[in-house]
Amino acid sequence: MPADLANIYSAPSLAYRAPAGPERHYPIMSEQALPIPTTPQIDLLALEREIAQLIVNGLNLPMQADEIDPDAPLYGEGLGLDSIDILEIALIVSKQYGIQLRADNQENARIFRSLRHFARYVAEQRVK
Amino acid sequence: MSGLPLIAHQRPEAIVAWRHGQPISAARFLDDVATLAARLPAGRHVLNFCADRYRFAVGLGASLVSARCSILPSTHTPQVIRQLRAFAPDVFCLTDDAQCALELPQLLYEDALAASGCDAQATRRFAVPQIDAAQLAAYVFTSGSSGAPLPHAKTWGRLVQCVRAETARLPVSDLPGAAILGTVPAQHMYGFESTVLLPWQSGAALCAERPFFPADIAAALEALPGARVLVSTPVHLRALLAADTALPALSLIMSATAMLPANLAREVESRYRAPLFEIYGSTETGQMASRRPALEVQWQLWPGVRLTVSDGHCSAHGGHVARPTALADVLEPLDDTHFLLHGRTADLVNIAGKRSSLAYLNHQLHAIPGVVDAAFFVRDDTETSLAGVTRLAALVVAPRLDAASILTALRQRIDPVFLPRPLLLVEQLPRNATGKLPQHALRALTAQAALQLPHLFA
Repeated sequence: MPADLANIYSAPSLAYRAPAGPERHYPIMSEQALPIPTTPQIDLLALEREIAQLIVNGLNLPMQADEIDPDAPLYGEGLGLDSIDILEIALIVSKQYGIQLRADNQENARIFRSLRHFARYVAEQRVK
Repeated sequence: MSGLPLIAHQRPEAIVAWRHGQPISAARFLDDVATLAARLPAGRHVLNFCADRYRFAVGLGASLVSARCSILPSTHTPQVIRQLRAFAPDVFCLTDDAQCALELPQLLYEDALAASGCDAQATRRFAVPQIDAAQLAAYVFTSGSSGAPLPHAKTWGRLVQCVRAETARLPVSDLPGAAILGTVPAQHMYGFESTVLLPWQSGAALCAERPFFPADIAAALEALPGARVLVSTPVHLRALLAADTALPALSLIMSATAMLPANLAREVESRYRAPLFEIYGSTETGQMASRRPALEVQWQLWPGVRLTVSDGHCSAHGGHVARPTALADVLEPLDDTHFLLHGRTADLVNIAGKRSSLAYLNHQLHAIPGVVDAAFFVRDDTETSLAGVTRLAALVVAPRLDAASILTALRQRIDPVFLPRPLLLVEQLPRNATGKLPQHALRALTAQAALQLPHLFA
């Protein structure tokens, strides 16, 4: 996690430690291990686009939804979101999908790894 | 010397903190303080970076009993850390993050306390340390407008006087077994006073956790058995309501860092059935007034604090405020002890509790090689935020740079909450004949740029 975010209103450090370099340097949980083989790929892509649009609108991001790189980290470098944005996203997915994000979720590093990972998490957890 | 106790807790078994659902006794806490104090390196200045509030409190206690001074900067960018090293060359960092990236000599909390933490060993006689009221306890920094962080010295006596006034004003010490949970960090002046010093001096327990998401706040409160006090901000309170989060019974809610609209205050009080008090203060003065915004518009000053207004500028003096101190807000005194708050002076910005000035931010933007002219300004069109946070925008003249590289350079210099959204590159700024930049002209130019680049405002 960038040190300057540890001061105020940032999420606990373990939750959002962004990778310090390219992903391949990290022994991340492999995508194949994710328990969603039954979700059709086409729905995931639609959900990914829907979430991108919600984020761009909700955060007033100076870009269009389809300009978000689905594989770039959401937090820190990459999309450049900070902890307040992450809180906004938590409220958006609470409202839209009935999901309550938790800072002590061991999976946060994976969930916020990219838009694609985030969409997959929403698909797994949504209750509406 | 006139000594003031580190904590108000008078029995060894009194609970000073809750951590991961477990109580921590005063005896154990004072043991940890003594152990850590004996293991601190030689430097007299401590940047206490512990995210766990209990560990922060042990670090602060150890610094106080060994007459070391805590350094509390407003942000931790590489540039600010360099400036702090120049300010106090012997500064070291106490951290509970093994991967802490601050470029300072580091002491890892777990290493220093590795051999302790066992209640059975608490054989020392229970004695609460008395700290000299005149001892320099902390330097708290504001960003300053010239580019260097500005130190504000805090003596132990003034800090204690301030939070004792807070204790007298708020119904904290009457609460049986009160535990104070904060969504703000201990390193921020409000969190420092209300989530660490307030429990210390009121006999309440602090909570090690700093919950972030609404569901985290609910879970952390559930884990507390006694009277629950929530120390928070408009951002988090708004988030709790927006997520429709159910909370266990609360005895008291506190808010600071930004003005709380009366309707939001009433909504919070009726949803969570607890009085909501708002605290007014600044890094320079510490906390100095409170009000209950659901019921009243006027603020009541801490005992002894007086306001003076001259040429439209307000300053505070008296009580725990040692010398006349200019305030960055527009205050209208009603009588000796009450005032109305009319917002910030024009140059100041406050985003989610982080304070800066447009002058400072502009200075940092101009200092980037290749930037010819530039100006930050406050947007007035960001109404979509669920947490109610308004961001800044910036117009920049830099023919040889692109927006991404300017943002990367800026990230090294200013706190990320102030990064402009958007940062627009323009050919020139709409300066008037005197070289000034009217805010409305900046907004007009932004709107114009948005027309040319429609994708910038989706």
